[in-house]
Amino acid sequence: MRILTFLLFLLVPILGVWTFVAADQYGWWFPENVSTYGDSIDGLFNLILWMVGITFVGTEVLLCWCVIRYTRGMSIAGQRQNRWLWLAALPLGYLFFAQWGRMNELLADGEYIRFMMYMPIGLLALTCAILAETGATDEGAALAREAQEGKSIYTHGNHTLELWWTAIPAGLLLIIAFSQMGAWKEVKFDDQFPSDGAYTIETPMAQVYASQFDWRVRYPDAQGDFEGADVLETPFEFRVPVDTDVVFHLKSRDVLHSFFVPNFRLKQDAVPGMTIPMWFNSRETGEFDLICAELCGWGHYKMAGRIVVMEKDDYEAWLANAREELYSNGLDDLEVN
Amino acid sequence: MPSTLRPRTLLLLGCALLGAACMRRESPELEFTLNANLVSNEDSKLYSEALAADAGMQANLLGSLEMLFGTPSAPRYMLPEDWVDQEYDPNDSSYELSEAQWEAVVADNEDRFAKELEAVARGNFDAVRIPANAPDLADVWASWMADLEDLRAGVAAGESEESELTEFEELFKEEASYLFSEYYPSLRDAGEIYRRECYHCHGINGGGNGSTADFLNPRPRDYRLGRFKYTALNWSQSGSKATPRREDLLTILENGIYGTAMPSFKRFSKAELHGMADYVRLLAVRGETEILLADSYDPDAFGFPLETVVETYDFVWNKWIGRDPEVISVDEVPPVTEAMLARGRELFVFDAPRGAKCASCHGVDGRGDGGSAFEPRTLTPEEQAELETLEGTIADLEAAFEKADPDDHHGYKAAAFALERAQNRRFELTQKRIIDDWGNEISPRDLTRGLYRFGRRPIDLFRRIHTGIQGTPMPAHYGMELEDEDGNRQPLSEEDVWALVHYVRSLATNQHGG
Repeated sequence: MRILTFLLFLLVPILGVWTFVAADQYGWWFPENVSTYGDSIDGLFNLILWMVGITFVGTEVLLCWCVIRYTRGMSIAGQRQNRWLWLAALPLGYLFFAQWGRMNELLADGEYIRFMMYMPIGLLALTCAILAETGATDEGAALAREAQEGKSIYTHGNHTLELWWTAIPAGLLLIIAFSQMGAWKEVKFDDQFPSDGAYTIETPMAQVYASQFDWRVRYPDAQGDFEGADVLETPFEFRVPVDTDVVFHLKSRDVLHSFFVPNFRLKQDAVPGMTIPMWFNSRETGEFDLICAELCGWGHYKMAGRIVVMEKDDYEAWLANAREELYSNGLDDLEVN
Repeated sequence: MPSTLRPRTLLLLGCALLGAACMRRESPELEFTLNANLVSNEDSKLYSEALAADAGMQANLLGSLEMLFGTPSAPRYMLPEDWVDQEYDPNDSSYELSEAQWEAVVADNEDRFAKELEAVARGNFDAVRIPANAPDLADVWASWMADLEDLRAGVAAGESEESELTEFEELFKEEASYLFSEYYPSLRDAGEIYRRECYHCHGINGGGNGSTADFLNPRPRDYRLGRFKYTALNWSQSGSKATPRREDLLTILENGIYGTAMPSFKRFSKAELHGMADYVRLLAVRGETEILLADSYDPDAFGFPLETVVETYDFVWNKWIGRDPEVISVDEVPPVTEAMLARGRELFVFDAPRGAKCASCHGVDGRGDGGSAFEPRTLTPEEQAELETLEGTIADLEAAFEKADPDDHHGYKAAAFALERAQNRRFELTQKRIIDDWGNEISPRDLTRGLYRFGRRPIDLFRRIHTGIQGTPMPAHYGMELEDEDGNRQPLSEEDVWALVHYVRSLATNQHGG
């Protein structure tokens, strides 16, 4: 029985590592990075992932060892106490496996979030089963100690050990702290913003307004003025040229929102009353999702937008056309959409 | 042992809760209801008191409406005999689309269903997943797949020829590619989209009374009056109320309405947007039919006679089709000149007949604070008493303010604020906002913010001023009787409307959006 428990605990790191190894194959990994600075952010992510991953596997292996080492004699006494937990484990297990087909369907459809929502049932069933068989609960442990007629040992701790487990994490945190500075500076520092292109922090390409519950982009008039009557306003779509440093201002009309473009590795809160400069440079053309990443109200889930990265000529043509459209004579409305 | 009981009870309770949460609960079938409690405005209560008390007739009315429009899960227009004779069927509205619109729908479908179309082209039919918001499409696909499975089983059992299967698959490939590329939502599919996206604000009957509606200002549109604010049509000149064109509804769906909770629905395909517009039209036709039928209520009759029902239905439907809408357009947008701005200002500020009296509602500065947006309200006795004390207080405060020393900055300001607060309270007590046809308080647009609901192009503003806004006090200005200082009478011309448009656009200086 202890071996079974040991194997079950061992499953956690194995499955944990497997999800990362298999992620690429199942499309669980990040969407493709298309921005110029995305690679440095992915590099940071990988660094932290490796640190956490190694710690995780190490800890789990230690846990497995503890299961073997410190449960000697516990199971028989505990089993007597905890057999009733099978009453919970079996129906939960049934519930879990009854949804097996549905879960596979969700997996095939790429509905990973909804797929994951079934996991707690399975985990709870597993936990109940383990506890039922091993008796690894407080009462079980007390009974086991009684059965062994042993005494608890008092220890004061280990100075050397404490020193190391403080120093190593502190060192790791310092490594993270220093290695992230470059990326943060590049993406967020005002004085590091691109300044040699057509768009700079003083002359941004657009203003992006977040509001409950959509995105609106305002392009300045031909003179670069955001206050004039000829400002262009496009809902939902943010059209930008490719291979260009796109600097824009983010604003909110009502509450907190967050401008999140996974493909650019770019995320920034929009704060009411603040004008927040942002920039990106897309290496590829295409359409990318823009989502709100800050719970902003009941319609948060439907607050979507789209970044359309176009060839430079196409963008200029579109902009010129949109400026002309503003003074439409209304005849084109006879044949819209 | 009580100490062992506690965790055990907790665990069991947790399991029970989790189990309960996992049980799949079917949402209750959504049903159309009657609009018994809808009051559109003061003088047109929808239901006479007699009908409101007559449960039998109400059931009859609901039944008639279900006969005409089906249920939310199976919406369809009933076909009267005339329509059948003429082979006219509004249930398939894809025929209403112009060629350009249809081409755009197909192009968008090819993009939207790219994955499905590719799977079909490879003959990998099992990999096709139908979107969850298209039950009719799913049904068609399931029936085709069932046929395919039958044939496959037949081949396996040796009952059918292998060549038969290949032939069927070839045919399937061709048909399936049309199924996706020429997808146009049926009313049932559109109803599903409506329930996922629109229902929580606009309500199951389209009454603008969904569960989130109470949190919104302005309130969501109530379709049931068949009246829509924003169209490009010259409805004021046509003499009758004009229903919006498909293009008007689509413009709203694509652009949203800035400054309200209506978002842009551009993330949906063109076909789906057309479907939404179709479903909104169904709700509007249903709502108006109900209103007219309720008007024809006769306490002595036995139910609503079929003839009346069908006649009313036909009448309301005909408002939506077969008309020749005059879309307001111009040859060219005239350029802004000083003279034009001056003329616009004159028209904006002055009352009729010298001006277009815009300022009476929108305020002289265009801040939407003109006095005509309010009307006196009737006070309760308590409020009357409060008003009387308030008058005294205001007199005192005025005297105090007169005496306040402007050099004493804080004292002077405090006196001014106290007076202003009391005056505001008096205003609140004695005045109320005018309501529109939907029973909502109107607020004239603050034109300094440059935030226009139906679009900010000059032509959009031109249309608003030219023909007004349906269901609100914003009138049609084109052709309004004007009289200049010398007493010459002339109607408000198109140039005058343009002068107003340019003047209004020049007011938008406070464009910070917040």
